[in-house]
Amino acid sequence: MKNFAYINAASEKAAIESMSDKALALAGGTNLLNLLKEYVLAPEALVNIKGIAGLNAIESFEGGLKIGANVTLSELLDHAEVRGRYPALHQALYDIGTPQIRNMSTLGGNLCARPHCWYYRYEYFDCKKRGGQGCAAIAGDNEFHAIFATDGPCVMIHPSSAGPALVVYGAKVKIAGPGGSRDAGIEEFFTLPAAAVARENVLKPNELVTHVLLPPPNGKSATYEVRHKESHDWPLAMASVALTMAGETAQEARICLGAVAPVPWRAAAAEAALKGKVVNETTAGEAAQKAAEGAKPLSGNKYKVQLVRTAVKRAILAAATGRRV
Amino acid sequence: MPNWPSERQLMGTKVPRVDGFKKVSGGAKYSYDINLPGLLYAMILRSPYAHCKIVSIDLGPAESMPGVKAVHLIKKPGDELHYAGDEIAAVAAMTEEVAEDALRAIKVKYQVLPHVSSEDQALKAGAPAARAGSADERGEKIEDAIKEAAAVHEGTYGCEVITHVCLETHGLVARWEGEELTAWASTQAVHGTGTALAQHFKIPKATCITNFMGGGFGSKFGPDIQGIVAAELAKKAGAPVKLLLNRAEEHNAAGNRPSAFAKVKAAVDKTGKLIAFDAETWGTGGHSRGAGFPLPYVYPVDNRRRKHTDCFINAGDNRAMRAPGHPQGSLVMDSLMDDLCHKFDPKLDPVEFRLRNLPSTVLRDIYTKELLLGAARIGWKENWHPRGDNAPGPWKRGLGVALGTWGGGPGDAQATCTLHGDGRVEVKCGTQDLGTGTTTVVPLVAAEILGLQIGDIAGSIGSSAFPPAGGSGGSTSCGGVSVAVAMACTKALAELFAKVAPKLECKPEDLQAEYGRVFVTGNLERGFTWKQACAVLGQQPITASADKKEGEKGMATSTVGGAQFADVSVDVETGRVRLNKIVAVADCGLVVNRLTCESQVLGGVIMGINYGLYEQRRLDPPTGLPVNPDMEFYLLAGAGDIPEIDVVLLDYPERGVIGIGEPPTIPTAAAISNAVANAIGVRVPVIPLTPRRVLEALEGKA
Amino acid sequence: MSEESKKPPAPSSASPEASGRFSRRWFLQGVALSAGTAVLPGEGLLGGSAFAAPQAPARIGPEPVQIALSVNGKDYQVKVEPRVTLLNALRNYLNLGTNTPIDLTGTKRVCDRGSCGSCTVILDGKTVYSCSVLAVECQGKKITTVEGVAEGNQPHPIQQAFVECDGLMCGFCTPGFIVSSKALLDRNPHPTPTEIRRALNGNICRCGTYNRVFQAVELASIRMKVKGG
Repeated sequence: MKNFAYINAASEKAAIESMSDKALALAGGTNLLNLLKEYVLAPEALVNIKGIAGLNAIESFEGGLKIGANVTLSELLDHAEVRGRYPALHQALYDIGTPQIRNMSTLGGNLCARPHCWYYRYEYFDCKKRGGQGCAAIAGDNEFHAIFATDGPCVMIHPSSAGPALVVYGAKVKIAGPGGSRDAGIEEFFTLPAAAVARENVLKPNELVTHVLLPPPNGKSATYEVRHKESHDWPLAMASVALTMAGETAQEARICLGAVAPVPWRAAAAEAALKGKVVNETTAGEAAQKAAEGAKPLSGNKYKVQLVRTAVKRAILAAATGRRV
Repeated sequence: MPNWPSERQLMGTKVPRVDGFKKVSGGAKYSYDINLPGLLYAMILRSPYAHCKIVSIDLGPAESMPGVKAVHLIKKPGDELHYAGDEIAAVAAMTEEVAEDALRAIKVKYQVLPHVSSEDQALKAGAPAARAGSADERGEKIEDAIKEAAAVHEGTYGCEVITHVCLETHGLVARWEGEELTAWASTQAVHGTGTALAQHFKIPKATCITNFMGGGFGSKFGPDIQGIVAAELAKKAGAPVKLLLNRAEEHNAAGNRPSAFAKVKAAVDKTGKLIAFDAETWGTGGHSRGAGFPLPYVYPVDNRRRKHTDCFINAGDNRAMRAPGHPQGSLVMDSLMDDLCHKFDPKLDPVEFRLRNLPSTVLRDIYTKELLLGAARIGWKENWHPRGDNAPGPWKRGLGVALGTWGGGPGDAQATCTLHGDGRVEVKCGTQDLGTGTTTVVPLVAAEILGLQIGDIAGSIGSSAFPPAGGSGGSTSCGGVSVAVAMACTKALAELFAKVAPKLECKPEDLQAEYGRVFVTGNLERGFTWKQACAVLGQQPITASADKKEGEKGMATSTVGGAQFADVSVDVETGRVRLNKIVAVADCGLVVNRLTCESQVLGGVIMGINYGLYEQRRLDPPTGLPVNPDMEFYLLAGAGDIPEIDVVLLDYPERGVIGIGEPPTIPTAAAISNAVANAIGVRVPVIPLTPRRVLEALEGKA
Repeated sequence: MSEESKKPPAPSSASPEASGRFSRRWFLQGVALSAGTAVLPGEGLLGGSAFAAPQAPARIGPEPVQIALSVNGKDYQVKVEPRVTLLNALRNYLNLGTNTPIDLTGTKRVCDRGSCGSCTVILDGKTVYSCSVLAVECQGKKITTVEGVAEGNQPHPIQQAFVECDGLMCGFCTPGFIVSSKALLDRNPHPTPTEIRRALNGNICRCGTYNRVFQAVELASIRMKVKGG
């Protein structure tokens, strides 16, 4: 990797003052260091934000939780309230990476991670995100790429596994910048490549995610992930579901897909299909069919349409029954 | 004729590795770990294109960089580069970081040339990208036999290119002292590597040392380009140089197992016996090497025809990989056998079908035993069902079986045994330990022959300064090394007996060495402790040398057969395959160390699991550049993917020692593929069996 | 940069051997342990208290900077560029400037991309991939490598069990497995088979010794239970 200066920021202010498009934030490092080693990123400085006071706590907040961006995935998994009240988030985090990765990675890092698309990751490929001419994935090996929003300039899948769960809980992201702090809805936080191909979210180079705000859960929830390997692997497709139940009936449903689009992909048609229905195999299956509508797979990933259906159906049933399917 | 002692104290027991504590403590020094004063770090600049020509190279910016101590040109302007990863130039610098900066400072102009990056592209392009390989036609009645057959099946099967993924990458540390070169190399052949380095530099001798070695699997038999380059840089810089490949280089440039595809038509008669076999096969072994593999495999068929085409693509060349060709042959043949069995009679038990088609060789009995034993261990009778599990729910369960065969005879080996007056025993052999346990085999065998304990023996291997032994490949080390060590110890012991006999007033042939004593046979009291016996040597130790040739007949042999069974569950809504259990019955002759022998079988099975379910070298179709030269998207099983593995060693001590490294990895993938077909009712034709492929096969069925 | 950082490293006086942790020769045979450039804890730039300073962030590098690393209970001074990973600092830099290498090379570099686990170390009580941590981030933190797993003169029960169960073949992944297993047993002395697999999911073994690694962890767990662990 190209050498850089190292800045250890002890406060949000110090971090923000140091950060720029040439001075990138360093959190867990599991994503950033790989990109530096591949020369995909070559900043002049890294700003270590892990030492910032106040960003590594999980606190009660308005009946929900306020989670510091530097809280590691391991710490989240160990947290009784996350496990007990936010099963969709707990299940989404449960198998991310490896024990070592979960010890290192932070929640902020998970939301801000750059894509793991191999055409982005290896500098010898053409990649619009890196300022290239085209997206090599479209004519290339796209077995693991997006099936939604594939008409855009980039067919990456968003690497955040926490993202879909945070979407179904209606989480907010607290962002600190030179002008102070602001809250963004989690769905507004993630941006499609069509909006700005070089980035994946609304953050400006000198802005920082400081917290994730989780409102109190309103019903039952679950996440189901399909992957190839049991050990270290990325999801092929995942679905997070939150249901507000009245008896056996879903009064409200929030369904969000992961690993199938450049952002966590809200499945509105599936939500509508489930709303007001008694939740069972049949209605879950019907909602799952709807979730896959609008998919435009690439040359090598039609199979993911089936995976979306399976993940949605199983996540709905898991949420409703409280049992892993 | 020499033979093993009929009653053995140590051989066949479970002996922990003598170097185990070094490995668990970080004390084991691999070549990668050799740090010498003034050490420089070297790296290689490689082609960024699948196919190109060098127009110009400017090393200047690298040479002038502070900390850079030597540069070396591997190719020159005008030279063609055949794959992404082909070597161009190298630098040695005071730190790895500077070496990397220097590499990127080298300015190269390339002329990009057309490339071929897949088997399909090569077949379409024709010669020279696709060339007819071996053709084989035997028997005259293929068409007639097919016409009269009770059942005919036609199918296409395939395996992708995989890479060795040695955890310790290829490379070495080179140090010159005047005209003397010492190389600490990660190699499967210390003698071969030392000799090759000496030849290259036209020096009388180069010493190659490999005390510990992080896996080779067939890919590490010489210094390779990077080893020569390291020594060249060390010479130029006048300082020791370390050059071990990085992970991407290891994937791209350090060997692979060729792909194998087969379109096969085969027939059986009404007794269910194979009567005709007609195959077109192809595969790629890189830009200059073929992709041969044995077919038909294991099961004999008289009327057969095979046309093979080698596809030459712009990718790194193949190297031998654990049972070269055999896992491919097994996958194609045993998949075909199951499909044929199903076509012939859907209710016929595939184990029974195999029993009807075994070869009439020495392996017939072995396979029969293994099939019956393995079937019992996997619960075949209880759980086998005709193709397609009809149980409700998305998870379908199935069983599968496959066979493999391998040679594994005794490889070249010489050894010396030195007995000292103070009782010390030194045994030296210029072999090496790739993780197989050879370091333990040497003192274990010596102790067996000398009637001592393993701790009494100072065994030394892993240097070309020791008596010559062949490279560790083809499952030949254990046979050759154990026989050479046994013979050297036997000879040394005979000399000791000759000196001790007068003191005990007996003939040397009346003496025996056991329980740490040398005594007159039949009278344990009439003798000496080992130390007392050796004391007769005074200041003149005995050194005896032996070659494995002196004892190989009777003490070692070749040719094994193995059977494996897989119990799997498949999620038909996601295409995920979950392994429930694998049973591996391994034919292994006389077991030297039961503990490490079982580990070898376990390791072979796990490599087979990886082959069947996970591994695939992926090249971007349009550019031919690698998309997964890493350990993240190049998938390998981790702890959570490993099922119960039941290792059954089929002892045949009377056959002598046979190597076990290769055979157990051969049939695993085929057994898994058959189990998946049995579970879901349809063949997934190409491995690895990814969710995508399983779902696509299911879609084809519907 | 503080003035202190411009001081040359403290003269090497204490050798790691003198700490008593490495005195069993059989156990670390082949490790050329000798005098390192050892310093007292907290003496290095940004070590410990420097990190807590709330104001104006210290910018260091890109030129090499002197830092202190606390490895297996011993402090070392190393001079590294900010881009040097903890893994490379351990393997390549601890020995610089000394005639006798300190050579903590047990931690292995295999994938160098945070996927394989061979570089696993324990950093302030948690396992991490040392290839994905910068050395400059590790000042003031406790680093335990495979060389520090042994308990004084005795191998850790997990090390003993790996040898007995043959939970290793070529041994190149073994340091990572030992460290991950040790961290598991520290946290959960009596893991279930599922917990063992899950805890080791971040380590890849190419020779294929997993089943025996599982056995070894179980054996060590039982022995630690018998000893009242």
